[in-house]
Amino acid sequence: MGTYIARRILVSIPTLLGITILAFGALALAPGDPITSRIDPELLARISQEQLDTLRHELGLDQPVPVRYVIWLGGIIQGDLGYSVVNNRPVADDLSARLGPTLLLMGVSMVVGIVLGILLGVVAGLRQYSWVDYLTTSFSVSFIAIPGFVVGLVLIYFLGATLKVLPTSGMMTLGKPFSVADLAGHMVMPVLILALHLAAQIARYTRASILEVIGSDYVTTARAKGLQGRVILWRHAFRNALIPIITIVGLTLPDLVAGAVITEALFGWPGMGQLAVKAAAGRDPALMMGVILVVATGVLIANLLTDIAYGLADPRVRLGERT
Amino acid sequence: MRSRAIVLMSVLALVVAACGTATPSAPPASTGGSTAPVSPAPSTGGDEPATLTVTRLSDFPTCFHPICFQTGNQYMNFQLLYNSLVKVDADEKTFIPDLADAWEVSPDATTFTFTLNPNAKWHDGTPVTADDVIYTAATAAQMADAYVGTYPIANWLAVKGADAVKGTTNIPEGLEKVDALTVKFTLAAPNAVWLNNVVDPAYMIMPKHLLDGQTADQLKASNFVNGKGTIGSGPYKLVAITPDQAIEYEAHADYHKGAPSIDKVFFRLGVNPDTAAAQIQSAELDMVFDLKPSDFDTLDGKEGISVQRVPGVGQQSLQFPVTNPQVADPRVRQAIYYAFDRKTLLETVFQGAGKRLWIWTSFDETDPALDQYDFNPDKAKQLIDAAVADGKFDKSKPLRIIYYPEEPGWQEISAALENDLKNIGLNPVLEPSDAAGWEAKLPLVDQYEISLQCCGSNLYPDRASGAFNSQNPIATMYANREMDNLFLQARETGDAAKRAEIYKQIAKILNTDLPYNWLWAVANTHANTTRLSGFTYYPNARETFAQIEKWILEPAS
Repeated sequence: MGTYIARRILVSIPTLLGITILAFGALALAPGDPITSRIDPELLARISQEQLDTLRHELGLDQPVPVRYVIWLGGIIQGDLGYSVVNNRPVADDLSARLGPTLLLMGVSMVVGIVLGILLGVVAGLRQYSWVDYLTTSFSVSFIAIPGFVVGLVLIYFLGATLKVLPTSGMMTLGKPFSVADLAGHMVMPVLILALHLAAQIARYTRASILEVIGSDYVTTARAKGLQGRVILWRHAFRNALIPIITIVGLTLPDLVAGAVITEALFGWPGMGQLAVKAAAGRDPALMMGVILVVATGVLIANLLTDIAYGLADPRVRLGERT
Repeated sequence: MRSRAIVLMSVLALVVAACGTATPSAPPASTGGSTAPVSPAPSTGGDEPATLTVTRLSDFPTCFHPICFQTGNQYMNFQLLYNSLVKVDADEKTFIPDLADAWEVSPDATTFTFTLNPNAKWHDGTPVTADDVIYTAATAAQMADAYVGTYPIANWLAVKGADAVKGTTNIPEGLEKVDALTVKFTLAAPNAVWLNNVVDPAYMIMPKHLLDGQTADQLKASNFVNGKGTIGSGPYKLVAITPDQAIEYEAHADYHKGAPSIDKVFFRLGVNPDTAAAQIQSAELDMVFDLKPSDFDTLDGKEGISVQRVPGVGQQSLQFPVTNPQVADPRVRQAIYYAFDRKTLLETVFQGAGKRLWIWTSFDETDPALDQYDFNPDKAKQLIDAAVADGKFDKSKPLRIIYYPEEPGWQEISAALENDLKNIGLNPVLEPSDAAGWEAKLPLVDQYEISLQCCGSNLYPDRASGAFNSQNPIATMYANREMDNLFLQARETGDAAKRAEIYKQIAKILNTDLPYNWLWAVANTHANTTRLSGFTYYPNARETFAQIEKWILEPAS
């Protein structure tokens, strides 16, 4: 397992490098730059080309793209993520301030989404064609099909603007001392959006997986041996059904990150998603690359953890060993 | 079964607890506590401070110094923190005291003398003096290049000798400390509108005792500029910044114009425009500037909320790159103006949220000499035919219209314009892109014939001289030496009535040559809790905090 993890980490490095090259190239190809995006068009119209050239030179935007990439990469190797022209401060400061809120939001959403999805999927699988099954299927299809921001706007309207039972924006109530209850209140709606979307996908795959497993010969054998239904489900059937579920959880992580960008922007959650939107709107190359680097690293780590989880869930999987 | 019930009850309890305890950030009841002799009656009704939570739906770069002034949200925050020498009242014309109690302008509009309020103090208790004013103007001139690209500091550079001190630590010849509280500015050339500019946040006065001796780079990287330990002289002190969440202020009790009645102000950041209306309904926000126009209907009539459409200084317009042969002839630009049924569009699609224009805002639009370009497709056709006959317009070529659909209103304007131009036999082609793509295309004048423009403000006529001049033709590339001379003449004319006559001549030229087709002045949508009183929305909404010390916030019931 150790060799496998080490090898996977080594393989991840060129993958990460490739991602940064692609992202840097794409950002360079996009129209506009930090100068045109951050200055009021009226003011921009009054600035001469020479002044614009001076500003671009100050920001290093007059260099060829490959040179800019090498300079950026050199900084990364030395632990310098660059300087945000949008926020007027080091990118590392921006990222470190946003990482915590995003991890919190995504972490809670993942836990809620996975637990809820598996529970619904198992119940639906065990009660095939019952009202629970139909309800779960309807739930899954709905939350996969309806975009998160639509659900978010509906929740904001009913729970925030109309019933006034939940705050609609930010991470804490301004002017109030920090409290877990206050934080939880601010998290309810964004977590619901992300978790329900994740749960909807997991529930569908769990249902299918459970249906397949409970029709297997070894489950029939277990029943014939007189084992209790609960033991058959959780000790035998569920463990085998878990492999495809783990795959889905791993695959949905980038989906969750994408959802977090929209959800954070909608709920004014001060995380990486909102920062990414700000960086993109401000055409801030250093900040955008910083966000991409962190997200890409997160996804690669999640993929690695998924593979490790295979081994833990199924002893037949011998990672890194030839048979 | 029992364990399932426990789990279900726990989950339910967690949700109920979260819903019950995490109440929206409704401002708590206010206390008395204002000690200022001229402040309004303080809000009362509880032990907690009166707190105003406000936002303007735009970006805020974290910088609290004119050296990096870029956006309207900075403008608003600067107004809380700092003072300029004078401000304007809600009519955007009448000057009112700010740091200066009195001011005097010489008849030839060359010298401006300001007497500072003797009670003005920095937030650390140090008195504001003439030295601070001289420091601010002199360092701006010395570091002029560092200000490039953010906001023009033309006023400080107009001071006699300002050019000579660039890159040095010398004081411009035209800056004179008359006494501890009196400063005299002598300009290199007469400029009757110099005082209008002083209102801008680029000219906020900075504390010499905290910043003196710093280079531009040191200044930009300093804690002061980045919001840590920032000290101003304005009605509110900066307490804390939570990135993408809020900037927290508390009242400056020794404010020279009277201690503010509202104890705390939170300037919310990162509010999503799609949810701002919901946030004022849930009482998380007390005041929102620049809501989406459609939010007016959402909020109109809601209990406890006042929503207003305030005609602003920003305008929607069509911009022509006049060096492009297809739109080089003024008759073509006039024809497009006549062909476009702006009145119907404004009244129907935009529900009358604006005021139709035929000249740039701030010029006297009531002058009967100006053509109002009422919808007249027949006249438009005649003008086009005349231009075609003279070889000045090719009907077979497209009229490319560039814009970005995300800008409020542009989607509708472009569609209506396309329709109206087709109706007179022209060949309009819509070329939407994202904002950056549109901005990148603007200088490429041979790649489009019409650009949609929005929101540029023109607070007083002289501002137009920046956009139209022969020395540095920009934006539309329109240049007119006669007009250049008229602008210069106006600046040298201290007599307001005579100056107005000159501006009439300029307006007539612009109204005929039409480098822009000005469509209408946009009405901005603002909303506030009805507990808030004692204020007026300025047409230039960013200036609305100008007299915030007079605002009153009643306690929440």
